[in-house]
Amino acid sequence: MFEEITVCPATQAMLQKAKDENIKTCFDRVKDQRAVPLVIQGDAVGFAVPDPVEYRRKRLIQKRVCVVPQQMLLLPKTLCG
Amino acid sequence: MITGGASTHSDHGRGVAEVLLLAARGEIPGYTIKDEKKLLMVAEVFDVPTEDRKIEDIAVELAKKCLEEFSKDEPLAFLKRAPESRQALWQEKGITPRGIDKEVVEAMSATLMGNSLDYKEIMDIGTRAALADGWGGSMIATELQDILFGTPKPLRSKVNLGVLKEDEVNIIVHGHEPLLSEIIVMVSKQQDMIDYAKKHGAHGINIAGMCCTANEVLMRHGIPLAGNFIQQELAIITGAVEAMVVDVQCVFQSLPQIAQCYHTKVITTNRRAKIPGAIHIEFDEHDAIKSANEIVRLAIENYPKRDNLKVDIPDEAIDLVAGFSHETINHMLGGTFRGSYRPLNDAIIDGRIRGVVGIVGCNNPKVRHDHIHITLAKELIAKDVLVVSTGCAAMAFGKAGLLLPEAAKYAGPGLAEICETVGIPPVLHCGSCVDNSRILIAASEITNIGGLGNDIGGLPACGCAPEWMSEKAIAIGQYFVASGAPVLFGVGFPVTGSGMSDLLFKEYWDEYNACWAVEPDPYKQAEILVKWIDSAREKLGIKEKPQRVLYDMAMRRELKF
Repeated sequence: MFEEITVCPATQAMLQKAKDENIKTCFDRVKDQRAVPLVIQGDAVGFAVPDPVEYRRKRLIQKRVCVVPQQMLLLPKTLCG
Repeated sequence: MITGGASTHSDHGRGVAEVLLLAARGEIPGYTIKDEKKLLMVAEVFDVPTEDRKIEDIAVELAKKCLEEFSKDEPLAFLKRAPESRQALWQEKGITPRGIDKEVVEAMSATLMGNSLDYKEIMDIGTRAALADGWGGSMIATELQDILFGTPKPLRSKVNLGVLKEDEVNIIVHGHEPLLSEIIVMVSKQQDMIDYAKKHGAHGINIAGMCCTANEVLMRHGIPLAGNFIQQELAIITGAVEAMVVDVQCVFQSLPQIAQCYHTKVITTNRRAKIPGAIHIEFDEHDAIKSANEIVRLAIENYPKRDNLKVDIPDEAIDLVAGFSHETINHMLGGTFRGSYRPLNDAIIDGRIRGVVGIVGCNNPKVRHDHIHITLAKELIAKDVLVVSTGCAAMAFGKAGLLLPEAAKYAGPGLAEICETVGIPPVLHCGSCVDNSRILIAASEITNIGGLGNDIGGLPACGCAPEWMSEKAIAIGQYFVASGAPVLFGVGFPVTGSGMSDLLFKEYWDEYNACWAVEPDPYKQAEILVKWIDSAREKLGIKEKPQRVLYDMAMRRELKF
């Protein structure tokens, strides 16, 4: 089931376990390609933007919004239990 | 992005230099000088006198000189290892890096709003910072770590989540610096600590690595690799990890949240990389054994809390051979007394090895995990291209069995012959991401040996980061390009569709005899890399495989010398 995500069988097995236990991993966060709002440094609101073009566009048009690059998409929205 | 990468590699290098200084003075228990030969070799580069001096005194002076590299106004010492033609080019272009900190600060200053508005100038400043990383901070980290912990030699180990053990205390060391993990490995082998683990119901203590901390302890101790960057959360999800000990770089912020679903303790150890929800045990180099003892004991005491119903360790754990430092490759090719890259150069000249590609860098969750790395490497070795690798890319190759000599079966006939003769895999694991500096040294050596031109630019060699995601990859890519090796990135690129892309993707050929390219598809990546290699071979006049001709006496008489 997770073959399209990874060629590593151990990773596939653990992704299945994560799904069974309702845990979101980085793959889920990236699959959800929307900008993920997050709060950084006091009141400044930032968005993690996966697409570099979109990142530049947002930086240009949203002067008051702090925009962080794609790596920050790895920030969590983890659910468990 | 260059400054982010250059800063973090260089901060790593500074930390190692500080530890070498303290270790040489005998001020910190746990650390000693393990490779005196390497110390003497590096001392020579820094013009540190070695004759009739105690090893400790040489090490103190070397460490001080390395620390001066961060702030001095003169060119960095390691630059003299580069071919003279490349040094002259840097000089001519005004990009010879000075103190590492100076280059990073200047680059950050130039990008401030209202400062440099000329992208070419910004890139030159950035290039100096990148070169200060590759030939400065990263090289200091690699070389001094070899002095402190030993220069890697080929060894066998295992990779993938199957290295975790059901009946032992599993501690994962994750991040990039070996300063603490080396001591954790040492402490975990002590009998009193093993007894303590047994007292808590475990059969022993199992250390496994993740990311480049893993590569560091693998290269020197054969500590197994639990996995690469993207598997860090999944290691916790096995339910069998008592402690995940992280230092710096590439650590997911989500780890403590995922750990809450299990018994795992996430332990941060560096003030630069704290995570909300994690336990912080500051690594104190003055008493690293105390920090390591505390961490290992905490993991052991956590073992009885493991919920066996939640434990599921995958079976996959594959053998690999790692430890291919520059010195090792030299030795394997030329022997103890005649260590040299000459056999490699000869193999490249006669076409058995078509060229060399460094496949390095990260995983990226936006692409199919490990797929691009493995597909690309298989395509390249089948075309007689020797692959050298570092970082998470190397782990992907390990999981695919490409780091075993038996993987020669995937190689083309020429490369397979070399691998079988020398006894090496077609993909060589050269270490962590700071160890890309080993590739720079190897490329310089290949040039200095002769027969393949007088510069790194023009060698049938290039670099590739197919699944990159970190700023560090950009810094590494830029120092490779500026050193003369063309670089191909996968996934995507932060700069496209502007004058800047013309500069990076085209004009750099004229400036550096190397450039950037971007291609996400692994088969097309292989085509581009082989095209670069073949083009370099053509310019060197070695594209066609020389025909072996048996000379008779008449033909010999006709030879003109």
